[in-house]
Amino acid sequence: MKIFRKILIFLSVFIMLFCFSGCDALDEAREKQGYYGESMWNISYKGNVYKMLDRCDTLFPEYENDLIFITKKDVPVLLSAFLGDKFLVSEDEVFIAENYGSYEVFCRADKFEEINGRIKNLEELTEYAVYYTSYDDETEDFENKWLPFSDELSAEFDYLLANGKVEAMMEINYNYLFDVMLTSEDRLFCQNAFSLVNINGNYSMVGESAEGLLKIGIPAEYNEEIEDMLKIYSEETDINLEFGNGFNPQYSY
Amino acid sequence: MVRKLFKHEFLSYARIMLPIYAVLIGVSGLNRLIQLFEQDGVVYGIAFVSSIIAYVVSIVLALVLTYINAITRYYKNLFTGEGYLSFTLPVTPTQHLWVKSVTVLAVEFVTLLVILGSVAIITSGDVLTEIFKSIGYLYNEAEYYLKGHLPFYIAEVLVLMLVTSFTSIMMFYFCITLGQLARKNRVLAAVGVYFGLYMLSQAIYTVGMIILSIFGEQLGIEALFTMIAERPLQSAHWILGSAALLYLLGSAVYFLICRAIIKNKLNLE
Repeated sequence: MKIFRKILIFLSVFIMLFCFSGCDALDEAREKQGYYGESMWNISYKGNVYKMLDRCDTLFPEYENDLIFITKKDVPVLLSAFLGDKFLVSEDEVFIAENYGSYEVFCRADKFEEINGRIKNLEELTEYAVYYTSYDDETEDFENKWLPFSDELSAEFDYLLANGKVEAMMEINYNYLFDVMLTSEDRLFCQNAFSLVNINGNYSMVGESAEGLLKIGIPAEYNEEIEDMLKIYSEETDINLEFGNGFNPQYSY
Repeated sequence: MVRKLFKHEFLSYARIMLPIYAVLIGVSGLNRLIQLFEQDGVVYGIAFVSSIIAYVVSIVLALVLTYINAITRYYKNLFTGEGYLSFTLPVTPTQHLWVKSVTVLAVEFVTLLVILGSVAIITSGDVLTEIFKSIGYLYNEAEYYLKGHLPFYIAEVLVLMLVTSFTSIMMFYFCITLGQLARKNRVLAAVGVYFGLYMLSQAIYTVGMIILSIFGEQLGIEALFTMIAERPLQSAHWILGSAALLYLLGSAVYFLICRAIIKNKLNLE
């Protein structure tokens, strides 16, 4: 009888262990779930409130690859992936954006006034840089990076875009190198500025217009700096730029 | 006498199914125990996956053995040497059939309960709580969208599940009963009847589809589809009810044929 009681107590404790133990997968799912507030303009995620920013086409935060799911408050965690709306969250968890359609961006409440203010004041984009993805051997993962142009070359780009000689792009054989972005100092805001191409050894800025492709030639004195950048870009991305990267917009589709 | 028949039927099933249930519960308990040591290591991964595989195999075994036991028991008890004893009992063929089929239904129900119990063990703790929350949420959402029809749908689906289960058992009994009419290789004959039945049902289905596609309009198929589109919630009741009735009709045909053969054409080994 005593042994039977001991066995019973042991089994009860054992069963209670089951009842109070958690599950990693469930904890992960809980971390990925956020909730809509009283209105669709607010979201709460990991204890923080996020408010919807004014629409801004140049806002460019770095988002994580993993999706999170925003649901109504009463949706259980097991159903969040099926019933929730898919969102992306930035690496610093300041921004949350919809993964489809309208691309509404929400900002954490403590940074909302600052960011929305920058949007309303039409944040000035002053630096030129190249945005690329490289593979990190140490972390064995892909990493997004920026390769900025020097202040001198950036100033030259500004000058050329304002005053440079614009010509129609008639050449068929040219090497497309990469797209150059115009960004804010902290790279949070950016937009596509132009494409850098090589035409018979000379570098040009190329952009699209209603009439077709237009080009502005870059003075030869900047070739060395551009080629230094191309070397870094080529090493980082493993793309061979000697013969261009194979993409010729003239003949696409 | 029928009560005694039930008792012996259940005892016979218990001898086979109780150890299977014990294995199923044991494996689910083992899996839950392994989950207590959850980590990212290879050893845990191998142990967890192995226990899950064992668990799934146990479930399949429990379900399959119920049917295999039902079929072998029906065959051995009524159409082999045991049949000489069975048919000397003061029990009619109808009662024999009822006892056997009702016992199988009951054992299937118990197997289902044991499987649900094992699922509760494997998911006990946080996960089980979340599962119940999810079920409650889905039920409330379904109730909202189905506007009061949900409890009736649930009842109808449960009845349909019961009827289809009964029909499938009767179909197996029908195949065995027809198979025993053969002089030799009765089991093979029963398998042949099963395949013949399957091909016949496919042929009837194909002919039915051809007739519907050619004469659909005259037969009022368009009107039927319009009614379903206009009143989907009400139409679902008709569809579920009609399906249950059809299956019931099928099982009644199987039952009556089995009874007639056992009564008039019994061919014991």
